[in-house]
Amino acid sequence: MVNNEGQLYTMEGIAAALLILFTTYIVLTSTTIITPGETHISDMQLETLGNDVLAIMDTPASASYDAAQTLQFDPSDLETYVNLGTAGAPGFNSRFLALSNAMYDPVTVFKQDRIKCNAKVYYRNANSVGSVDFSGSKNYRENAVVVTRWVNTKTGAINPTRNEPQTVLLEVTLWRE
Amino acid sequence: MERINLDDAQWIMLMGFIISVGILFLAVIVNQSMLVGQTTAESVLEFPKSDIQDLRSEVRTIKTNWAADPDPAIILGMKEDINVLALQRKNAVINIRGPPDDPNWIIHYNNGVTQYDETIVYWDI
Repeated sequence: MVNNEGQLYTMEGIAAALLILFTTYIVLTSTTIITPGETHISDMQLETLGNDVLAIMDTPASASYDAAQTLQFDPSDLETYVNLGTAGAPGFNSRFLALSNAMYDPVTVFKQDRIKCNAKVYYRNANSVGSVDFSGSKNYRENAVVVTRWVNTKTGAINPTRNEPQTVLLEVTLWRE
Repeated sequence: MERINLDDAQWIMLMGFIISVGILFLAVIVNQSMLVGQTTAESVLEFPKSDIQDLRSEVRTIKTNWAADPDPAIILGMKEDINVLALQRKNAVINIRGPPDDPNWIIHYNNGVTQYDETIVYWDI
């Protein structure tokens, strides 16, 4: 006959079973520690990516001897674009976006990231600093980061006040849309 | 009928207490992991690693392309460019010494938090 003897034991048993299952679940899932998403982390990754892209673009692919038999670096991609002055901006923009947006995905092979950029070149004019827009979208979003690169230009065409060999500062603001 | 007696209740409460301490411990760990993510990312963002690498690469470029140039004003102008632009745009004091003032290349970098000094003697002087 069914009676109420042992009812509390049964309930205790069920509670214990649930507790054991829950504990096992907690233990199994907590072995991988997942750092909660935090804006600084994505900022850091975006900044690293931007700096890497600029470093790649500013690395000369070759070197050669000039007329006086001195070894010279051939202009890097970045130097080539800046040497052209503002006319080099579209080339810079497409190359920068191509490098920063390339993603490898095993399924679709190539997938595009959603990074956008806005570049400015800062130059020295006597003791003051001037700037010129060097391509890019204007409407940037939150969590944009700024990366910079010194660029050695032989023509100085980017500087409207001083056309001579000089070093300018390329500042790129980049963000994800 | 089985009833809760004092001894059993004490045992259950003890278990409850132990479990609550365990949950508190796990909560502290989760809290710490959040802090770890932030401080790590912040220290990486703050440290000017790529700024210094970029500066060294630029000095190397200037040396290779312009050190043999007969006009010393070009190199002096470039040092001035870096100095002025770094003060205005990077909040950093950058001083570069080198030919014709000094046979070695001396880099001084200070952004208020991190200071970096280096003397470079290039093999292909």
